[in-house]
Amino acid sequence: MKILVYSGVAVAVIAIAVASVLSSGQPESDKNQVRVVFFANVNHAVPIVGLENGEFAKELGSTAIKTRVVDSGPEVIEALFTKSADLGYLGPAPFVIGYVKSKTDDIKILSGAASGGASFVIQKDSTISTAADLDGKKIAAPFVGNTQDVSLRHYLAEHNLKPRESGGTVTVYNIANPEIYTIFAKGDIDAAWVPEPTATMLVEQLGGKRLFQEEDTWPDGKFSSVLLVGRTEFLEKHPDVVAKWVAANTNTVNWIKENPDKTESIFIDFYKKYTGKKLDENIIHDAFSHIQITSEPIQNSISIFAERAYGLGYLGHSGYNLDHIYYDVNNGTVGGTSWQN
Amino acid sequence: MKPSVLAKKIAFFVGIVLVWQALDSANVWPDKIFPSPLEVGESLWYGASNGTLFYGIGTSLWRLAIGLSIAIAGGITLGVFMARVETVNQTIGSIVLGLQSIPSVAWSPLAIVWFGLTDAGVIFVTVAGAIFSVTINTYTGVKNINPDYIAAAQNMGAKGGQLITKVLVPAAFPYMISGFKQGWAFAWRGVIGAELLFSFLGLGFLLNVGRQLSDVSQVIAMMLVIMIIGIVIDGLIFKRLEDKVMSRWGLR
Repeated sequence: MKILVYSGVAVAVIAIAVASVLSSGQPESDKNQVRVVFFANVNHAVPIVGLENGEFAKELGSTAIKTRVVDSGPEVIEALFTKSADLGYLGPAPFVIGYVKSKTDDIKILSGAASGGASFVIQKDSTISTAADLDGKKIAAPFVGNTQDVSLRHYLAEHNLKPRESGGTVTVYNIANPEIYTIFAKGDIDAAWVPEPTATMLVEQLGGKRLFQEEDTWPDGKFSSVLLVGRTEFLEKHPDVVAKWVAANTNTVNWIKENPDKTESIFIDFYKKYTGKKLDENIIHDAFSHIQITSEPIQNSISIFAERAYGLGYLGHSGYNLDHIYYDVNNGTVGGTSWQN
Repeated sequence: MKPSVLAKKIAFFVGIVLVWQALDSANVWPDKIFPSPLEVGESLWYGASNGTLFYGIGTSLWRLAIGLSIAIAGGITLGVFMARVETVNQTIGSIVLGLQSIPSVAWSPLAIVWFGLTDAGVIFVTVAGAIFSVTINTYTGVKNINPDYIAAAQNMGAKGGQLITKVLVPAAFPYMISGFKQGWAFAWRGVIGAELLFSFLGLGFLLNVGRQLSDVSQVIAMMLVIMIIGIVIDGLIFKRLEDKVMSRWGLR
């Protein structure tokens, strides 16, 4: 029986070691700062432009702003969950997945930031014209559980097609946008469901054909594509900072609507600074023409994204509840059932 | 297995699950980063009930089988030549140890560029991870053959292919078996590592899906499956093979 005692002790030691590793690393959440994550995509123009033109800094005053650029919604969720970010911009699908997975309302929607801005692009000599033609094809979408991935997989399921990992015939590649560009150029994939500016780059630089825009597949032709969300703990602790950020978010939305040319050049400069790649002005101009910058989160599209994600098994298997996804900025209270501007 | 050994093993595993459940119930960490054994079990159950788990296992094992076969065939060839042809040993032999020290996933970026996101790319990573341990063990095995055996065979007229298949390989087999065993472990890591990076079907992909859906229970479930497959393949195939060879060659 000695061995049992030893193994018990060993398990306990390991557990303690693991516990101490996990709890080390003091959170930075108490400093006078706000940490924000977003992507280098055109539909993230609100944080990009608002940070570059100083709107957020002006509104926030002495509160420091720390930013981080990531590639995907799931990374934003990871950053919020691990308390390495306070606010984030991401699509509705990863938000809903993160919200449901957190089980304790850890994140909330503060505002919208963009609507539309994703397209289904096929190769230039492709014969694909209807959904049925996708049988046996190779299609890319960024990251499992991201907004385009949910839309693509739902679209396939709607047309009775299954991806290969579930025994179907369609190969779905979940890779980052720059890699999608590379394998599209090599001809390794037949189609891609991608956000801007990747969609426009595939069309204008690689001769791809835009088969349809995602909004065409939506009931009233519009859907939310970027939301501003916050970590609930941060929202409760710093309602003043959050209110300022949301105000700056709205101001930036208006500024972008009034200054489309400046917005495009700010985005091109930012993209150059971040990726080292200089994007063509025409591409950015076209990409912006495919999205709407808006602070409205288009609430019914969020519910539909949730239904679709649930249908794909992304929200677990025992139901889900979206009753408290909104943060009420005016009252500084968390737990609103709907969004108030 | 003796009943007492079995009892200890069962007690150990039950203990792990109990401690795990207790840690979960103590709510030290939120559920979203530390799921309970029950949730992990549920993840496995749903994966099994909609078939994705079996497709994942099938894909990974298929890639493993192809990759390992290529690695074994290539490793034996390379090992025999290194041991028998001095020039090969002086040239290729000098970098084999270095290549062996490259972790298989480090080949992934190259594989993606060369093969694209295909099965061939994953298999390439698998082969690259496993081939050199087979090579080194085969080399050692052939080098350790009593020279009298080889001389005797040559006196009786064996040469070329016959010498290799009838003398060298059988004589070096006990070493080669350890090479296969090591090679398989490297190959399995290579498959999973490549699938994680390629994110293209298989168990590594399902693990990645768990991460991207913030579904830690799926991540742990897939890690368990990877481990169990490791134990099963090692116990059912390689350990038995090794035992058989060892007793047949009179080494135990």
